[in-house]
Amino acid sequence: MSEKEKKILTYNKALKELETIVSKIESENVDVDSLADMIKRAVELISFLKEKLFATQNEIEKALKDLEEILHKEK
Amino acid sequence: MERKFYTLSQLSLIIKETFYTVFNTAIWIKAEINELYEHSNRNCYLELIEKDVIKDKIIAKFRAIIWGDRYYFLKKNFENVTGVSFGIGLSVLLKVNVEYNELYGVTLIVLDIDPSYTLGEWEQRRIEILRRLEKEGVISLNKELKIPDVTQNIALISSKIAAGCQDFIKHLLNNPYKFKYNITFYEASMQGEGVEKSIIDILDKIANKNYDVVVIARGGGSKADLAAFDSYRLAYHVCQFPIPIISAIGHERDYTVIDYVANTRAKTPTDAAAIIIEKTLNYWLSCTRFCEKIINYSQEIIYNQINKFSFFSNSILKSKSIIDKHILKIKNLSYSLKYTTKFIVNEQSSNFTNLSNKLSNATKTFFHTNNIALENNIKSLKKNLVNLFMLLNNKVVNYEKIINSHNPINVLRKGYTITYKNKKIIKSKSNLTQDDIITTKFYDGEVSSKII
Repeated sequence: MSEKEKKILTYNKALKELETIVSKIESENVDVDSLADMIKRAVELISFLKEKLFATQNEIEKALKDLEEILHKEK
Repeated sequence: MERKFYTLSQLSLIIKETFYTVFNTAIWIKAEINELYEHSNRNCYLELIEKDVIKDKIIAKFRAIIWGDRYYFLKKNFENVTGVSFGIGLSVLLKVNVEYNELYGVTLIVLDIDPSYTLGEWEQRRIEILRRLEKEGVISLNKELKIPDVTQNIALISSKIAAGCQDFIKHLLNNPYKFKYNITFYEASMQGEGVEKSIIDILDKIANKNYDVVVIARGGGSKADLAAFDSYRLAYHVCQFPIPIISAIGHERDYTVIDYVANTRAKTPTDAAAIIIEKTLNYWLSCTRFCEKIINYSQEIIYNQINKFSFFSNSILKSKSIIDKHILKIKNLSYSLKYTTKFIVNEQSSNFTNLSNKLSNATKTFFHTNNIALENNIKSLKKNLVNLFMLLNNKVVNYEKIINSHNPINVLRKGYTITYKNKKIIKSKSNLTQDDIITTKFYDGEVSSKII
């Protein structure tokens, strides 16, 4: 996945694409030719989603921590 | 031929006979006294001459005698009438007997002197000089000059030995008004033949100097001495002199040509001083009058202005009292305003304090309550977030597992291979013929082989 695509791609879009790939693969109608490409794409999407999730979680946790500090200070 | 000759006495006799047929009576003659000798025997011996006026040359000369008894009376009479001592330089009209003596030749025996002739002679000379000056157009030049109103610097031409000189200085410097004068003294010969030259020399010397007036002072003396001032050359210089000249040469009755042509004629040197002082005094008086006028005018103006001002100041005072009243009112108002305001402000401020305390307490309580709620919210949010992330992560992990299970590499590991011909997967053997090159993909690489 190019850096450019990473910037444009959203979590939801990536998830939807992954779901589509997974449902295609599960339907067993996939030939081996396209399977390799699909798997390759799916792996990319998964790593993108994991990164995104991880980053978001970190951000939110940090924000919550700041908020708690502010509240404690006001006390 | 025998010569005929006379002895001197015979000649004298012949001359005497002829002489007395002509000069048988006394005659009047006109002459100038060139020499005069009073002998101890009281006789007076004279040398009489006639001059060519133009050439200034003696053209005739006679000896004359006035016998002692007669000389005394004639001299006295002459001097009484003319005011001049009988002496050298005088032009005289004499009644004489012309006598001839064998030893002394021709001698004039003076019988009488006409003093009025001498007087007339002077007058005549004076008139001639004045006429000439008039003809030359210079006669009134010095008169036309104006003596300054205030004469300060005075050149005094006089002789130290002349009484008039001292009179002038004393009178001028001791003036009762205490006016100050600067007198510069120039010594000149004031009698005799040197008068003309010495005065002209001084005039030439001081013409360019900064004098207000020049005083020629002499004071008295005989008429004959005054005759030196009846000089054409001196008068000519005086006329054209650039500084006004005051002549103070004689006494009251004596006039000389200089007196006529000088700017101002003073009877005496004392009179000259008086003229100068009077001029200064007049100026001083007119100044004083001006001063008085100025003082009067300015006083008048000031009084007028004071009157005006007092009118204004009265009205100003009136308006001031009005203003004062207003100021007092305003002061009172401002006092009450101040106190009222203070009271109101105090009241309001205590209200405010109460309100603000209340507000602050309420806010505190509010914030405290809300803070707790907020904290609770955050806690549950955190919990939810963890769940959410777990959920999301599980989803992704799930997909990952599915993907992994389908990944052909895992299948290849189990011993399956994929066969390509010309990079296309071969799923059936019918697609292959002899000598085809095929690529077989293993989990760890590829090999190419030929169909036999």
